[in-house]
This record gives sequence, C-alpha cells and structure tokens, in this order.
Amino acid sequence: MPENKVEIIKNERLGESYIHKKHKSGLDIYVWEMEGFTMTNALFGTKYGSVNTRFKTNKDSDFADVPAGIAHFLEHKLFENEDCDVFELYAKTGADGNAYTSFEQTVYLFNCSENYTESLKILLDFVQKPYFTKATVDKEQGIIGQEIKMCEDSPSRQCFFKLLEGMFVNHPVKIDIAGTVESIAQIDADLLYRCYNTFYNLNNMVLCVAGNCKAEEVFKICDECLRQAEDIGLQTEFPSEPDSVAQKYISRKMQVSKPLFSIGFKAKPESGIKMLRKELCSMFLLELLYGKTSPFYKNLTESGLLNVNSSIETFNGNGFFTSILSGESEDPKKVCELAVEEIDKAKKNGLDQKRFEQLKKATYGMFIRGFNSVESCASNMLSAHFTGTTVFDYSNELAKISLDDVKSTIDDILNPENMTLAVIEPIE
Amino acid sequence: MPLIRNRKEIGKSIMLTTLSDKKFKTNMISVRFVTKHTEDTAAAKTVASSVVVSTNEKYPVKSDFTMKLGSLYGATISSNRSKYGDSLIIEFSANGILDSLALDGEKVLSELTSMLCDCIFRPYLKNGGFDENEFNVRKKELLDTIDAEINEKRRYAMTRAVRTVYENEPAAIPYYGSRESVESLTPQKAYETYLEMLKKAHIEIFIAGGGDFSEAAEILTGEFSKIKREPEEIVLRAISKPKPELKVVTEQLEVNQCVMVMAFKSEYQETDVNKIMSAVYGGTPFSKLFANVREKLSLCYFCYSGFWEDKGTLLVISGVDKKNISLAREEISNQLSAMANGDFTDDDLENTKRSINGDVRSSYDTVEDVVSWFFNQWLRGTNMTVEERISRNNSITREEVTEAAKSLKPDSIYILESRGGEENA
Repeated sequence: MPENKVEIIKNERLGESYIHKKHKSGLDIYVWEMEGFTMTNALFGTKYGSVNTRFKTNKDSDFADVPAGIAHFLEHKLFENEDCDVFELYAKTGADGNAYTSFEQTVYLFNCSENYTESLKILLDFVQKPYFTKATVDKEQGIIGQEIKMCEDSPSRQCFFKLLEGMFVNHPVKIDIAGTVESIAQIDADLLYRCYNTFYNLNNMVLCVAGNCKAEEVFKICDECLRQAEDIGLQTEFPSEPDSVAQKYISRKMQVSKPLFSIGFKAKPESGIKMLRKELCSMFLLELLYGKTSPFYKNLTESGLLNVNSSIETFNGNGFFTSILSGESEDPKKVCELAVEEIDKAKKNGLDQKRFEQLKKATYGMFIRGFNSVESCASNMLSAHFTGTTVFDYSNELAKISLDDVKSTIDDILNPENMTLAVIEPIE
Repeated sequence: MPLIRNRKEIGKSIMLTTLSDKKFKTNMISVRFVTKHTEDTAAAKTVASSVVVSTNEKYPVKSDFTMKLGSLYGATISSNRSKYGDSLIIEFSANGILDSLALDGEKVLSELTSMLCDCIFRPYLKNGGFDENEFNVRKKELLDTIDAEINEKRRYAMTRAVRTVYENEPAAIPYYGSRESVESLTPQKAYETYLEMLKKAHIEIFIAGGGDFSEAAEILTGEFSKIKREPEEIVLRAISKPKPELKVVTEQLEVNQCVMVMAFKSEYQETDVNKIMSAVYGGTPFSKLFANVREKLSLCYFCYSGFWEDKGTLLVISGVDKKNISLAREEISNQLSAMANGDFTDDDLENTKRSINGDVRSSYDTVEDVVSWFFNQWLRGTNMTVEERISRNNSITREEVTEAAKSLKPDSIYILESRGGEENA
C-alpha cells in the first residue's frame, strides 16, 4: 500500500471498522475508534520473538545465528532509559505500562483512561531509544535467571515446553521464550544493539491503538515522534525441520498431585489466509474429536481417566503448526492410545455434521465477544497484521468452511506418526 | 451512550439491577447468592453450584446441555465462588451475544435466561438428590482442584497463609470447606443444603449489556418471586484482630523459589484510604516495595501488597531466594515503617491516585466489570458512581495515608520454603 494513504477495513454486518495507515517512516499504524469506551489500549510491537535467532539484512553476506533469549532480554532492557525508568514517566500520565515477548513478537503496551496522547509519546519514544551498558546487562542477567527459575516451578508450563522439546528437532520454538541460563550468559551489550538495530526497524514494526482515541491524533503524534527508517531488507529463516517428531515420549518429575500430560500432533506449517484456514480446521478437529461435547470427553471424564479441565489448543506460527490435547490423568499413555483410536474412528465413520454446525455458531459467538473489549480489539489488529490478514478475515473464512474441508485435513493435522506425548510425573 | 441503571426489590431480600449500555455486543445475567460461610455447608454449596450449571431437568445429558449453549452462539452458563468477609458468595452467570447479531433471528437473551432459571430451579434430580453421575463428576473435579493447589506455588502459598492469618474465623475456611467434607458429601446432602441456600441467602441479580432486557427481567422476576424465603442475617465486613504475638509458619516443598506472605492487620476503617496506602506501599510498579525491595536491593523476584477491605488486612506477597528470606522480611517491614513515618513523596501519592483512578475510570468498559462495580458497591454498603469514587480518592490526604499505615500491626508470616539450598544469611 502506498505511503501515507489511509484505508478503512470494515465489516458491514457488525457495523465495525478500523483504520490502517502506512506511515512515511515505514511503520504500519492501525487505529480502532470505539465510541462509549473510556479506556485506550496501545500496542507498539515488532515482529521479533524468541524463535528469530537466525537472520540477515542487506548489509550481511550470510545468515547469522545468535543465542536464545535475546528478544525477551531486549524487552526487559528497553524499559530503562539513560536518565529514568519508563514506569516513572507513565506514573505521571496515569497509564499502566507493560510488555511481553512471545515466540514471534515483542510488544510494548499501555492501558489508560486519560492523557492517552501523552502516554503514546512516551511509548514511541522509549522503544526507539535503546540504552545498554555492561553494568545494566549484567544486572539483568541475574533478574532473568530468576525469572527462568520461577517458570521452572510451573508444572503446566514445563509440560508445554517438554512437549515442544519432544516435537521439534531443530526449530527454535522448542526453547523457552526467556532462553536458558546458559544462553543468556552469552548476551552482551553489542549483541543487544545488533539485534535491536535489526528487528526494531520501523519497517518491521506495527502500532495498534484502540478504544477512546482519534486516528488523526494518533497520526499526528506519529508524525512528530517517528524517525524515517531505512528498509534494511530483513530476512529471517529457520533451520530445516523434519515432518517427524524428535521424541515420541518425553517426561520429567515434579511436585504435582497427579500426572499432567500434553499430546501434540505436528503438521506442515502455513502462512497468511491459508494458515487461518488451517487453524480453523485444527480447532474444529480437536473440538469434534476431543472437545467438551465429544463422546471421547464424556467417556473419559465419566470413567475418571481424564480430568474435566482438559484443554485443546492449536499452537502455530512461522515454521510450526501443532494441535494439542492437554490434561491430568493417572494414565496418560492410555489417554493417548484412546485419542489415536478416535482419529481412526473419525476417518472410518466421518465427522458429526450437527456438532460441526453448532461449533461454527459457537465460534462466531466467540468472535463477536472480541468486539466487547478495547484490549482484544487492539491485540486482534496486531495479530492480524503480523499474519498478513485482517481482523474480519476470521469470520469470512469461518462462514466459508465446510465439514468436508475439515475432514480433508485430518491426515495432515492429526497424524499419529507425528505425535508426541509429554508427561509431568509426580515425585514418588 | 451512557449507562442506564435500575434497581428494584423483586422478592424478600432479592434485588434485581439492570445495567444497560448500548456499546456492548453481549448481554450478561449474574445471580449472586450471599450466604453465611460455615465449615459444614461450604462443600455442599460449592459442589452444588457446579452441578446445577452442568445439566438440568430439560437437558439431563451434559453434552446436550453444552450443545444447546453452542447453538446459542457459544453462550455460557457458569458458576463461581468467592469469599467476602465471613460470607461465601455463590454466583451463577450466563453470557451471550445480542439478539440483533444472531444469524438466524434467535432470541438469545430470553432463551439463555430461561435456561439459567431451569438450572437454578429445576436441576436434574434422582432419589431426592442431584443426579449421581453429574454429582460425582463435579465432586471429583473439585477434589482434583484441591489436590492440584500445590501445582501453582504462589496461589498455594496464599491459600495456606490465609489459614493462619484468619485462624478460628470463617474466612480461614477454604471456599470448599475441607477435602474431607467434599469427600463425604452425598447428592442428597448437597441438594438439601442448596435448597436452604435458595431460601436463606441474600440474592443480588444483575442483567447487563447492550440488549433489551424486558423479557429477561420478566422471566427472572417470575421465577424468583416464587421461592419460599426466610433470609438470614449476613455479615459482610468482619474485621480481623491482630494476634497478640506474631506467628510464623514455615512449610517445605520441592521448589526453586520460596514464597513469603506477610500479614498486617488494622482497625482503621476508611476503605479508600487503606487501598491507596497499600498501593503507595506495594501496589504499583513505582511503589516502595517494587522500587526498593525488588529493583534497588534485588531481594525478591516479585513483591507486592494488597489490602483486603472486608477483613482489614494488608498482605505482602514475595518470591524470594532462601538465602534472602530474613533480609527481605526486614526490608518489607522497614518500608512499612517508612510509610507510617510519612516517608513518601507527594509525587508518590499523586501518581498512585492517578493509577488507581485509571482503573476505577475503566470500570464500565466491560460487561463483567460494570456488574462487579455495582455488586461491590452493595458489598461495601456504598452507592458510588465511578466519578464519585474518583473525587473521593482525590480528596485523600497524606496524613490519612500515614495514619492508615500507622495503624497496621504485624499478625503472621507464612513461608513456603524450598527443601535444601542455601540457608538464611
């Protein structure tokens, strides 16, 4: 889209719309003006998460690998300016600031109910102004080391990462977002600056503002606060990943009351609208086979083999696509065996049309609920941008999808050959 | 699009509040039973509350029940339990999209209201009690939840700490009573206690969202006015007295990090002042605890405080390395003394007020928050709008904050300690 042109993305049925502008600085800006809401939520994000450990720019001759955990480390460090702490600045405008790093993004955000323009200036300013020294980097290594240790005390998180470790051979998604104590020990100020200058280029970033705000005010502040960024031709890539899993079974012992398990199916990754469609297919398959209205769920919870709080999830992104069933059970191997049987039955007997129609309606309802909250509107714009779709594509694809579409993906999405069972076992 | 509020009594100690705001794309019905919290009824109320939102006479099979909700565009019916003062609050709620957004012209709100009433008044019964199958599933679910408390260390530590902090008071009893009382519960006993609750509890009903509530209000009024009522007296605020001597409880587990919960109690009654005092002390990223104990001295991975207005208690929760426990404990107390000595800046106070007012101002931004706001007003015995609360906060002086901090007395310390590792320095 040409620079500085404004486009309106809308959905007639819902009567909702938001505005997109490709700013001259290189930044994509999205604004959702929501009448009647008092809060404003702003997200300033870069397409840079824990998985982006291999990259090159126009200036590099070849791809370079860096240690795990830098995206998250940078997130911690950017909150410190040379002269003050960002929280002190937000304290004066009344905004509630925060940030998070995921596998594929780092996002700086604030929520507020007054002075949003002032807080937006703070946000744009500090993210564009990195400041690291040896002393501040050394101190952060200690703090992040503690954070890694704290996460090690969470059995559900450990179960998830064990599953990823079992499923992936090379893809960096298998490593915790914060990295490891060893990998963060290799991080220094130079490395941080190098990654910052690569990934915090405005051409690789997005600003999303939703709620009590005006697009014209947001654009004006961007004109004032953003510096023109040169497109450095950033490319990222991942080590080649086989279709098969690294380990079919993986476990560790922790202080838990009962074994926790995750069963993960690895499938071929996709991108853009194709990924959205595949996500929907995976969600429908998981719901139809293992969801709360499935015979599988009923039988296993009634017999006590599966805890009623079991959950299903599609976990996917650039270079990875997985469908996961998790829960608590005295006999995870048995649950796994029955889960595989369910796939065979579905292939032989087909899928339940009535339940599919009901699930489609329920999914539409969930989508509608998202428009009730300022935060979800802002974060939906951000995820849509990073996946190359619009917020409304989801409901368009949902309307189009048929049970045959879902059925045709079963061999790829739920392939027992590419399956891992991860278990957290109680300490005896 | 302002919020339109209405409140009326539709039965003996049964209030119906409607909160209408056209900006919302969903509606919510929330029915809250405020009951006396006792050791021998808690398990029954808790299990019953999850049984009645799983099936009903009309949909006796759980998967059919869930399917019906699915066909109402993924509407939800759920229950929740919480404690306030020495009371237990059992909430039943339903959530659904606006009728105007339904693709096939369904009357989502009315259907959902009827379904919720079917759950509350016509549960699926057998042999004079709840149906045994669903009852056993929900009972096991609760037992599993109790057993899994140990999995999340911070929450586990809080649950354990509260037992010491409110020793011999109803607030010390977990919402489910005890594991033993859940285990020995029968479908008949649970149903009997549930019927008692319908008769005796104070009931607050809310309909909130962007739709037209007239039909839903009519259904609810019709159903609730039919119950035979003998409301009992409910104690909402039950200020807890500090123990004559500080009590320290240590428990050891296989964890990397220790969790420490320090409790201080106060008879200072100004709730809004207590909240601000606690936030200056440890409730924001620029609070004294965060800035000093975590950032400056790096003694804790996390360290924050919260004020429990219903019990007059300040709790400080921290994640600490074993070797730093005594130092952290000392520094947390030092920071509280500093508060009592007025050792905080005017900026600290103003910034804290701004931060709290920011949260307050956004209280009408989600359907759930609007309901919580007005329910909390009732719990606190106030009737403030968001604007009134903000102006009250702005009027609070540093002297009041200091006085609130001064009145705090140490009560107890709970430490969840890692086995092995370096001992206290």
